[in-house]
Amino acid sequence: MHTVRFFPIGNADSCLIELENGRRALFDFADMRDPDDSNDKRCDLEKELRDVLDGAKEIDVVAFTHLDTDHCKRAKDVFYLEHAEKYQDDERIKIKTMWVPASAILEVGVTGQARTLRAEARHRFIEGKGIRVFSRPEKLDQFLRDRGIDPAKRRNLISDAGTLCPEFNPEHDGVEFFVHSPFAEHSDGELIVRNDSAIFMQATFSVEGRETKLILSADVGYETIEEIVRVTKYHNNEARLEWDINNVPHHSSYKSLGPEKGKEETTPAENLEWLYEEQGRKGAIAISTSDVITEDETTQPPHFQTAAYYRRVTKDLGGDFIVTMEHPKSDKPKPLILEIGKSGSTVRKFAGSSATIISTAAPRAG
Amino acid sequence: MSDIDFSILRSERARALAAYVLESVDATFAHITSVSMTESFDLVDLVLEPQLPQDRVIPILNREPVRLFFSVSDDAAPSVLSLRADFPTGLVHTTRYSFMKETFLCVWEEKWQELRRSLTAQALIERLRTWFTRTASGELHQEGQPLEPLIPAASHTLIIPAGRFPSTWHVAAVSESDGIYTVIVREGAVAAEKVPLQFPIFFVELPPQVHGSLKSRPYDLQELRQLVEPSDESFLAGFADWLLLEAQLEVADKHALIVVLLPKMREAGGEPEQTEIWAFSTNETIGTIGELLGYTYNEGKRARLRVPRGPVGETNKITLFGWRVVQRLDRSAARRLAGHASQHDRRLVAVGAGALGSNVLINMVHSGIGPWTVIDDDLVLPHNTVRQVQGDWAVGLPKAESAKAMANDVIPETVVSICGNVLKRDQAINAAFSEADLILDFSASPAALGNIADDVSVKRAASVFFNPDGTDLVILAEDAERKLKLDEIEAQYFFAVGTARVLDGHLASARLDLVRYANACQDLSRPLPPWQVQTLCGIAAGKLAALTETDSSLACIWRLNPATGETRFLSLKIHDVHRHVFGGWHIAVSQAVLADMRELRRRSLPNETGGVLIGSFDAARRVVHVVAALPAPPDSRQTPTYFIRGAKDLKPYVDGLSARSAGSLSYLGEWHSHPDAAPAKPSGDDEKVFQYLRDNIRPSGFPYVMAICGSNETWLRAGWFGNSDGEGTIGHSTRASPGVKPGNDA
Repeated sequence: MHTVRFFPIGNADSCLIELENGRRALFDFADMRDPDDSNDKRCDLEKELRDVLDGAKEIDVVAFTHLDTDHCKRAKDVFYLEHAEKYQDDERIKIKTMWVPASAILEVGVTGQARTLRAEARHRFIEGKGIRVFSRPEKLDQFLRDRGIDPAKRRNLISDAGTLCPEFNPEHDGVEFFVHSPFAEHSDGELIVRNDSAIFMQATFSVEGRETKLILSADVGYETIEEIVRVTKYHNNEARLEWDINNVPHHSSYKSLGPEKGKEETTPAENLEWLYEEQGRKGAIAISTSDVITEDETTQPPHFQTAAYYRRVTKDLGGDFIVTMEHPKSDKPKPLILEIGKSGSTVRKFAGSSATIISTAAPRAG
Repeated sequence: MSDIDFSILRSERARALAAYVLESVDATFAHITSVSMTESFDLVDLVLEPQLPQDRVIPILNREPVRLFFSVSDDAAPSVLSLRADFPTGLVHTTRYSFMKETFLCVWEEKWQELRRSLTAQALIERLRTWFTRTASGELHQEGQPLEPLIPAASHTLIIPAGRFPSTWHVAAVSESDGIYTVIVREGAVAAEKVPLQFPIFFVELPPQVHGSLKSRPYDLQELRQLVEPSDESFLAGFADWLLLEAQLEVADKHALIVVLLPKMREAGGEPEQTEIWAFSTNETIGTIGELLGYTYNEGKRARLRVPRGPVGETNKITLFGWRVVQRLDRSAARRLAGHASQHDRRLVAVGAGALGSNVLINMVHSGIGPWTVIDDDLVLPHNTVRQVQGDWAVGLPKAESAKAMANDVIPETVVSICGNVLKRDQAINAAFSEADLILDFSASPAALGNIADDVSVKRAASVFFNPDGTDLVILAEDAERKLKLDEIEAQYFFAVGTARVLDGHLASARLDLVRYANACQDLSRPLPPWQVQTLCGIAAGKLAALTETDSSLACIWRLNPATGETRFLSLKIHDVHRHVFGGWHIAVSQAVLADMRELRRRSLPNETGGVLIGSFDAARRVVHVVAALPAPPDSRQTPTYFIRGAKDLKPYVDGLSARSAGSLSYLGEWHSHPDAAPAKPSGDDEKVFQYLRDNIRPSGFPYVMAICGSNETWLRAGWFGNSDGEGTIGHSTRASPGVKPGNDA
């Protein structure tokens, strides 16, 4: 049994995949909680992660789908970074292989977390180890030539859209990762749009012959998804867009579904309608990594109209739509754990009891 | 949810459930949609979110609406009704009550009195959620499983004979407790006056059904007709004929019991492979059913034939209540329930039905192991009842006969008895021996053990006995090919008792003057509590049950500490033997003897070495067992050309072996080695040694043996008063050859 875990961290992403053989992949890390706010229901992500790791100090793959704060907040405080000594102590979690889109290396003028992670990605890329870069824009070759490195010597560290990531293979790991995006052109324009150059992937797990497919779609906009669908159909690769679990893009933002927000329900762009309604398999689950969805009209995601669409689609599939900050209940969200086994995915629904009480510290007694 | 008025709830349990769902700190995966009430029930409607895999065998939904019926008086488990119109009732465990049309979910397997002790609000919700989870995964209802294996334990019960189903059905006994009936049926008729509460039985066999084709059992007479009539149009007529029998006419006020046999086949047109059985009682009396069908009219408690026949009424008004049907155990079912590995019967013989034999027999029969022939020529005496299974009723009866009666009370037709003695064979005993898969000797008689060992018609034998204190259990068993005979294993057991520290005291209190291992159970001067007997017999029964399913030989001892109940288990290593058959007698040399001589010889080279041989013998059966070759005493003289055995410490050591083995082990003769250059043949000096043994031992009646261990073979010669000497060699290249190695008659 493999597990896929999403954390209640508000409008932010972090997804931990634990394979049956013990290997792990973490997609994004954004520790959003405000420790000074006792009403903040978002989880202490660092603690949750360390609890799951149970003392382990290395993760096989840590992917930063893009360098927005809601995908990498506090990463530089938690992970062991190779490029500077100040990020190196025994308590930090090592990253065996870092996955980043090419834009994470090429972007200029970045500050804060993003700058630190860019430094780390560049360092690993220049050193030629511990990294996988997604897409190969011309600028990436130039980046290497500028540093006196023959681009051909780094080719093995780059994955193009439409290929499988070599860090995992079905025989040993029971999973394969297929990268749909970014495309090279996402990072070759004058202006790099981070969201659209982000990593969009499909993971296919296999347990006793039952395949379970997970789509991780970061924050890409609907136009990019339309393009992904077009390209995938062009290559007759439709199976690579099937899904049993779909981490819907950008915290249920309508901009990742269609051009208009809509009144009651967002109308999906044509290719996206196909992606969600045709490619979702029986009993499939859509996950909105977002704040609680209210009926208030908002500018920022999540948009209830968009959520209404996902909810309807998954209901028709006999599945479910789950919002991370609402699971299992809004006033006490907990990590969402999906078990991947021979019957597909199972959302773990464990009712609290004394087992929960004795597995955490008791309140101070007077 | 705010508009729900929880204050109407009268049932404490319903209120607790509401509190759990509303107030729980953690997610309950349940929410209440409404509450309502009837005269005797509080009704709580809720939606449950079970944990479900994506792929489901039964289409359970992520959100399942149910209604819980809480009895206000809390005298029954909450009933659970699915509120989903398309709930797959035919596929899951469901039940219908006569007073309601809805189908309820069979969630409870326990009796309410047990269940209520631990049924908290959370436990109730979790039970329901788990029920849905297990249903979705198909765990609760698998293909080929009876349609309703989980009829509540609180329902009426019909007990039917073991084995094939009866062709005629007669009620043999009825008992009633708290309104729940238990009815026992048998094939033969029973005098009516012996059955206080009558249940006339109508029996029908359905046409064979393909496995899984039937999703639900019939709930009323109309549904039963629909099942039967496509292939048997005379069903109703047959039922009418039955109603018109005098036996039914005169009990019109009684309720009928309808027994339905359902043969099931793997594919259409195939042979039925198994038969499911249902039993129903009806909501109406026989008389009312007869009236409804237009066959009879009631006159008091009697029904009378109606001429002409009236119209047939609505047969769906005759509701069928499901009964639990339980088949009596046969050996095969008992084995399954006892967790015994084998599907097959094993033919066993028990020699001796005393304390050990009777207890082990009953225990093994409870496990479905058998059939048995029990042989014993003794009678039950009053003092026997302390340690044997028989009670006062059996005093004066043959032990075999009374043990048989008790065993057949456990599982009928499992034991036959012979009042006889294996040492005085008759045809019945010989037949039982040659037919048995395994002879179990509980006689505590070395003579019986030897007798069984010598019987070539025996397929396999084991001997079970206690030590004289009754604290230790011994099991000696031959392998399935009988490469080793029981007496050869026994001789090695004696050597282990003589030498192993862990067996200190095992035979210490044996009476050397009478028997070798006294039968503790026959010794009235030594009290032996029944718990000790039963503890060790329980262990023996378990080991012997396992023995019937394995092929290897064994020698095991369990030592019970009566003060603490702790039991120590010891398994003895058993060696193969080399047999030399001479005219009228034979000698068996353990492989350990050979191995020891060769090792001592090797260590002494280039010198010769030697020592004495130890073993046991049976003068009646003319058998000698050589079980040990002792090393040279320290005052021996060992040279390249000769060996003179010393005597320092030898006698006390051999006396010790003899004492610890209850006199079984004794000195048997001499061995010495020859160097590589010399053949393993007696030299002139060696002939003098053998003559010395002959002169000194032969007149006393003991056997005497001389062995010479060379580089490639061991030579031996043996003699015994009344027999000619025998001589033979055992090649060293051959590994422990278990078979008989022909010796030379000298």
